[in-house]
Amino acid sequence: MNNEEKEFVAASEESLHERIDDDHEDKTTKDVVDIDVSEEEKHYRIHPLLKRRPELIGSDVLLSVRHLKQFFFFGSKINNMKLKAVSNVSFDVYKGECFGIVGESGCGKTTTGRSIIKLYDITSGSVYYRGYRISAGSRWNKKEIKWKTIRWKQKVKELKADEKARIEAIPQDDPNREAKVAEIKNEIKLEIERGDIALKQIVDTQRAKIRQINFDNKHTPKRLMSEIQMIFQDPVDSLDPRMTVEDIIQEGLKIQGFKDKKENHKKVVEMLEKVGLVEEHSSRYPHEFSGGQRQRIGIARALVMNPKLLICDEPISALDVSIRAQVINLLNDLKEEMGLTIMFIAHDLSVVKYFCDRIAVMYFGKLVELTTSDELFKYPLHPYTKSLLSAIPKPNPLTEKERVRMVYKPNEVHDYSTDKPELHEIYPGHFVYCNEKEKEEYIEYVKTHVK
Amino acid sequence: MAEKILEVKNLVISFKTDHGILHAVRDVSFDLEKGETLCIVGESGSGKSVTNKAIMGILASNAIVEGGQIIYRGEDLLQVAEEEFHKIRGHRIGMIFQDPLSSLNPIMRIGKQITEATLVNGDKLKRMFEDIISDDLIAYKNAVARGELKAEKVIQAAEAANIDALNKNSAENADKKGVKAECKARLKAAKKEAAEIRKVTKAETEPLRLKLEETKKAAKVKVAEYKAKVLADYKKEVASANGDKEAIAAAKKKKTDNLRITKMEAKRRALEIMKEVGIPEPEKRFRQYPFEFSGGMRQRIVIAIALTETPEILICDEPTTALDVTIQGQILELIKRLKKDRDMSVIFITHDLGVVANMADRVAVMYAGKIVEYGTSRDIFFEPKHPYTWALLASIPDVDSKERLDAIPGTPPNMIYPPKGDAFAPRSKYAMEVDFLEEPPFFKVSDTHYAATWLLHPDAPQVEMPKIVSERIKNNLAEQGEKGGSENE
Ligand SMILES: Nc1ncnc2c1ncn2[C@@H]1O[C@H](COP(=O)(O)OP(=O)(O)O)[C@@H](O)[C@H]1O
Ligand SMILES: Nc1ncnc2c1ncn2[C@@H]1O[C@H](COP(=O)(O)OP(=O)(O)O)[C@@H](O)[C@H]1O
Ligand SMILES: [Mg+2]
Ligand SMILES: [Mg+2]
Repeated sequence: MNNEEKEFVAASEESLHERIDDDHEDKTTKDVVDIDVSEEEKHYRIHPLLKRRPELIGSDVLLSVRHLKQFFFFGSKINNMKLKAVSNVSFDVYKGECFGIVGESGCGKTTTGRSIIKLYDITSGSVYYRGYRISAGSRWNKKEIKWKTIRWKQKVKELKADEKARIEAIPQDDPNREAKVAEIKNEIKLEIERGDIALKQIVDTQRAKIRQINFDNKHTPKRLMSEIQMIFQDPVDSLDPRMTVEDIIQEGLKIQGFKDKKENHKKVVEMLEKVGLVEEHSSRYPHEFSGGQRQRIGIARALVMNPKLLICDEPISALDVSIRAQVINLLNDLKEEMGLTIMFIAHDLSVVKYFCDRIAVMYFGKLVELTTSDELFKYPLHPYTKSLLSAIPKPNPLTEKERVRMVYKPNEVHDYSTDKPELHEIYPGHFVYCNEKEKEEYIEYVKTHVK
Repeated sequence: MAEKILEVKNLVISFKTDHGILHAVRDVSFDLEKGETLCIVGESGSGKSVTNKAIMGILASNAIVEGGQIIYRGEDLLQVAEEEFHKIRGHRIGMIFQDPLSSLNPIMRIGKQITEATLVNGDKLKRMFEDIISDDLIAYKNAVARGELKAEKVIQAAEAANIDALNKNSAENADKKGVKAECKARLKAAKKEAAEIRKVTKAETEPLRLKLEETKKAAKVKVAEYKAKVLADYKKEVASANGDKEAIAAAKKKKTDNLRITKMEAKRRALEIMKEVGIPEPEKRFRQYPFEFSGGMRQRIVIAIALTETPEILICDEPTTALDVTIQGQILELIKRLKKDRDMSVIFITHDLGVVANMADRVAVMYAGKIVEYGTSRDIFFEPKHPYTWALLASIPDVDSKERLDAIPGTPPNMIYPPKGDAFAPRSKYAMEVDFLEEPPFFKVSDTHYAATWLLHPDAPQVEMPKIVSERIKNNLAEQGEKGGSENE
């Protein structure tokens, strides 16, 4: 990170603690115990005490990511450092859509994907799938307890000092001195008692939430999780070189509890054919395949789990130009055929535009803009999105030669010193990371430019 | 017509591998004009890097240059002796690679890496000497090398004929002894002929050698004179300084500057170049290690290193493939600016047609070790003729449309067994029978535009390019029209 970027992150970060209600949607959540155990819950073997958001169950929202934070910690105890790979990212993915995430390398795209499939213990925030919480982190809640306690202790000190000052201010020869002192003391005592109770309430609710988070992380329904599969960027590294293609694909079946060898082989062959390979390939090892074929094996391995949500992490970046279109077309066909919902991660905007219905733009761990792909290209609002769009090379020498690229310099275009940014909905479905002042400007811009 | 600065003619390069001979470059010809950017585009494995490594003289040890010429400043780079080659490419042809990390030394400070080349060539006396003799030296060494090559070719021809004869013989099962004797005789004759050629060469090159000796002597005298003058000047200045310490120091500095490039001078130049390629805070950066830089900054450093030698040709081998779009844009701008400021010619290798559109004056499309089409940027983007060029244009997603992509079926060919005829035929839906049998020659489309496809043969059936491509071309031209129109208003 260079200095500018550090400033951007620091300025926009400072007071987030107070701003984020980690689970504001809780208000609508019913008491978890008296929910009907529906057929769906029986099918997915969902624990009745698992946290859920009833408004999402059975709705169009397949995946809901709320205030996701994924930090990585390094260094020694004294000199410890944290890297905020993903910081307070929220979005919903709808059934049947293709949801794109773009941004420069290192901005946290892969980490977001991996957090969703629980490859990491997430630091903070929640991930809901079909309305059930599959993953959550408690750092925010712990911080909340810590900071509220520290602040209250400070406040108590202030109150005590105030008490002392007020008592001293009463003249020594005041005839009612005794009574006045008693009154002040009583007043302060009551205030401290009230505050103690309030703090205890906060601590208790946060503790309960932490308990719930720990419980949820332990009781994530496996059947639910197996519906989410991921295809990785590097088709070479992600396949075990000592396993045959058959073993690689069957592994998933075994995890699901399918034991019948003949049946399993049949399924493997079916999957291979689906991704454009043939039965003969099943006995070979990954190194005997070309890059494009390996990516197909990776796709087959994911598909055999019969996923509903497929997270594709730069599935074509490592492939050769002539092969890329094959894989894109394959994913498109599978999406139709199997009714998949796809989360498509990439740094190549033209591929994402081609493939996705909605696009989220990330910058240094933050989601800075989210809207439909047509809108994003027509009316980009965030200056980072604009600079990204201005940099896509187009295969047209006539326009390309005169292209002017925009450079994004966070500390020149934003002033986040007092007015802090957060994700605002500028108009229905179009979210931008900005502060109040910028929000007004964007709304004004949209009024004059859009339709 | 512009001056041709580099010509590659009928280049053929193979590699010895465990599985057999791999035919990486199969008869590639192109030229580079002064001041232009030539883009070479094609999928990985098509021979782009190998072609350019041959120009740089940095082919892997298992490479066999089977034929061809690379003409630069009137000399064939494939034939000049190694030391000349290094001199030419080091000074005049620079190259930057896809992965900047692999071309930087991870444990050496950036500053040292940039000044290294300057310092190595920093002995001004040696350089002066070399400059004086270089023309004669190259002429002599090339003459010798050419003679040797002729001699070797004779022997190789005999050996090849022998192998053929033996093979044929074993197939026909005829007179074994006779054939063997015949082979022996043939080889002996060839060796004799080669010896004769060598003798002739020696005689022929003798005047060149004598001339070189003369020049060397003269050069030595000249260098000694120069050195003596520098030292005399220094003494004079010291004497006239009358003990003034500053004046003496200045004289001393002048003396060293005249004799060699000092570390300080090298550093000053390095900092200048770092600034030129847009590295902020060069003083601080000078002392850092490669890992402390982002990918884009590393690529800038690699460019800075290439520039310390003031090259006249810059070869860029996918310099932006590993970078993000925004950084890629900046590096492309930088290369364009440097090219203009320093009056360089650029060979730019990429597989990204967007980058080609941005950079290229002319484009060569490569497939399976051959150039299949070349022309101006306009020719290739708006009037493509080869089915592989069509396929490339059709297979990239376009920001402006959502129609199904025309994927290229199959996989690139195994270059140990390159396909016969038109190498792209097995993957092309436009392939005709002749494509599988006979290799298409280049057909002329216009003065600037050539394509090697039988579709251009007068007897070929009329076929249209894929609809997706023609639509895009129409849209692209229209987009320009719109823009042009609004600008005129
Ligand atoms: N397991 C890990 N440990 C420490 N840091 C990590 C880890 N994974 C990713 N990071 C860091 O987190 C940031 C985001 O990485 P990533 O999600 O891979 O970005 P992207 O996929 O957008 O390129 C990067 O700075 C990366 O170095
Ligand atoms: N040192 C080597 N040994 C064997 N084969 C090689 C070697 N270098 C390159 N090749 C092969 O030569 C062909 C052309 O490679 P290259 O020029 O690097 O392709 P690209 O067009 O991607 O730059 C490829 O098939 C490659 O595998
Ligand atoms: Mg990634
Ligand atoms: Mg290459």
